Amino acid sequence: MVSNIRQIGRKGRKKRGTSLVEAIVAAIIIVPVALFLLDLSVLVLANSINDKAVKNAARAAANQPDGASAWQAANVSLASFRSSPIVKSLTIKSFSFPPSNALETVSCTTKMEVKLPVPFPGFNNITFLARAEEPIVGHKHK
Amino acid sequence: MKISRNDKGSMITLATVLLLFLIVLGLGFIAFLMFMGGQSETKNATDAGTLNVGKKALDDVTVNLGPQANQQIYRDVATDDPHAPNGLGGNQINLRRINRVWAKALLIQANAEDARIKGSAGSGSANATQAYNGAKTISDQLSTRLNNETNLHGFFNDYASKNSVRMLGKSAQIKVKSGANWQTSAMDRGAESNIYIPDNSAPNRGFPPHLNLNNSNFTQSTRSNIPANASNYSFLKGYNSIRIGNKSFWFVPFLYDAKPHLVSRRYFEQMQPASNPIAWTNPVPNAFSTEGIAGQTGSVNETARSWVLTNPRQTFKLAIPHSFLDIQLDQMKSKWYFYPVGFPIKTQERNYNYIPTSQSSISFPGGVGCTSVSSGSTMIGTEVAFRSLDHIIFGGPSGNTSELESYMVNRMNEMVTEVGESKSASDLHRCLRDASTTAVLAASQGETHFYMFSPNGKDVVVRPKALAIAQAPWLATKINKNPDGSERKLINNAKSVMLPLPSPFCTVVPLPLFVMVTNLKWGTHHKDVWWTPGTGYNGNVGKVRVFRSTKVNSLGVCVFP
Repeated sequence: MVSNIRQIGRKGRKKRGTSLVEAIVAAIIIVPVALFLLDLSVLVLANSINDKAVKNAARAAANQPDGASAWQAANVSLASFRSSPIVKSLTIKSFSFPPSNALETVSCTTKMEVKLPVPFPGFNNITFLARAEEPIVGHKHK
Repeated sequence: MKISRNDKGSMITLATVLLLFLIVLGLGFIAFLMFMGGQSETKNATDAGTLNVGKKALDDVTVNLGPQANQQIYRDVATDDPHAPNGLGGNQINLRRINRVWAKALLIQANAEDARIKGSAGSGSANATQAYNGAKTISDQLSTRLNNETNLHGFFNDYASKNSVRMLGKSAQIKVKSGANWQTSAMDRGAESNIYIPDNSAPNRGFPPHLNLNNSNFTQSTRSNIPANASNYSFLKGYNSIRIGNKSFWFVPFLYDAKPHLVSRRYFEQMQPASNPIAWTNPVPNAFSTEGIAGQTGSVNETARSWVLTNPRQTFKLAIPHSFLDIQLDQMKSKWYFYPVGFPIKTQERNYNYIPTSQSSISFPGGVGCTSVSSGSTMIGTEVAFRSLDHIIFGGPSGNTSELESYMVNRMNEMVTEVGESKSASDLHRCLRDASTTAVLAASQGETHFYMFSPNGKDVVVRPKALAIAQAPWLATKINKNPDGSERKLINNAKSVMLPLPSPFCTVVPLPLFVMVTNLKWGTHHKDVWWTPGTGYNGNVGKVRVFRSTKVNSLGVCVFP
């Protein structure tokens, strides 16, 4: 009987040990996947925000009559952006507003710097570029 | 106690299920985010394409003028230049210009109707009908083209395709989704069109004197914040029947200086002629709806719709550009009257010009009891010598010049194409007092013509033929056109005492044995003025004809003592 009790005790310790190992192994797989998904979500959201920002900037500029006010309007449209530990910056990378009626397109490219909440080796900071083109409606007919 | 094999692997199973669940949930969430982002990108790209549709529909959907005369008369408004210097204009009408076409047709009709009211329509009414039919044909064609979605697809793709929809896939692109959602609408009904009409500084707001524009046909800008420079401007109303005579004229509303912009679906659909009918048979639309579809092959597609209200941001004045007024000064005559039998008999008529000359006449017997009566030397032409054209037309003897003045000011306003510019009676007299007219008159002989026109759409000048063509070459092909109305006398024999007074005595030779009892001489100046209305159909908006004469009376009476 004593021998049986000892055998059961050994088997119980073995089971607990197996579960612990399994939990650790599972965690090693699940946690990185979860963190990766978190990073991916951040990237998708950041990209979406950047798309929206460049669209707003281009549309604000397209409503202006000249390049100077268009540049100002584009910047004002981004003024509401506040940097955060994740989205570090949002700036206009390139901007084009034709000087006359000859060309009718304003194009704008914004650059967004995103720091991943869970850095992966080699993927700590991601830069997003978004470009939008809008027909200029602010030009007065000459 | 036996431990089952299931108990051993429970943690691995749970972890595997959890992992799979987490992956599916996470990927599902990301897919959802990308779907939402893709929807937003599709909407943004559609908006950009739609704005471009609104913008390009103004200029790039065109109708060519037909070869018929009643369409070719609109060449001078088939241009964005309010007053194209060469006068040739263009050959294409678009949404920006369509109101110019209707405006010119309206003024032609107004001129014809005014003439009809005064019984001098001539062929003006028929020409006005022709002009109306031409404008309607052009307008209907433009409406058809703007309502054909395939004419707009390219404008949509130009911009929609340049905007990324990468959340729907790397190779995803947006393109036109053809179909019933490409529609048009007639928005801002009753708001201002882009046709400016003069304020009250121009008599009758620039309309012919016997025709009043109903107050319900024009409006100030209906914008909530009217730009300061337009606060006093008035415009013809859009999508509002402006009835003159038996014809309705229509204009497309464009809020003053508003930009093409996206509008709500609700307002767009409320104003569609199908749901909210308009009396205009084929209304030219000012708003457009579009639909785009984005995605890539084998993937989920997103569609988006957008609605735009367009505006050319260009205002034109109600005008007949490149029109002119003919001023004809007939050969002046001196008329010599004698009284051989007690009442005056005209014995001679002689020409005179704008430099005074000494003339005389003699009549046999010329007076009761006279062998002859001679007027003696009389200076003729003093009333017109070194005077301006203004004096020749309006100066003494004046007569009632108010109607003539009204017509001439009206026609001046019809020539002017610059927004904000209007002409008054003082502008007319200033124009006619131009010193050059005095010099030209001094050198002229016989029938003399002057032409009133606007060389730049703002100023109005009056010049003799050669100078007029030199200053405005476009006049060369028009200047010989006659007005299409019939002539009506506005001033009938206005009369004044001859000034300076000539010698009050004529020379009398009595019959033998008779003695002279009187030898009086006196003179009078006379003026007749006619007005021939022109509708402007051929460029001629009217003709003023002036005939001046001087009557010299010589009364000699001799009696047997």
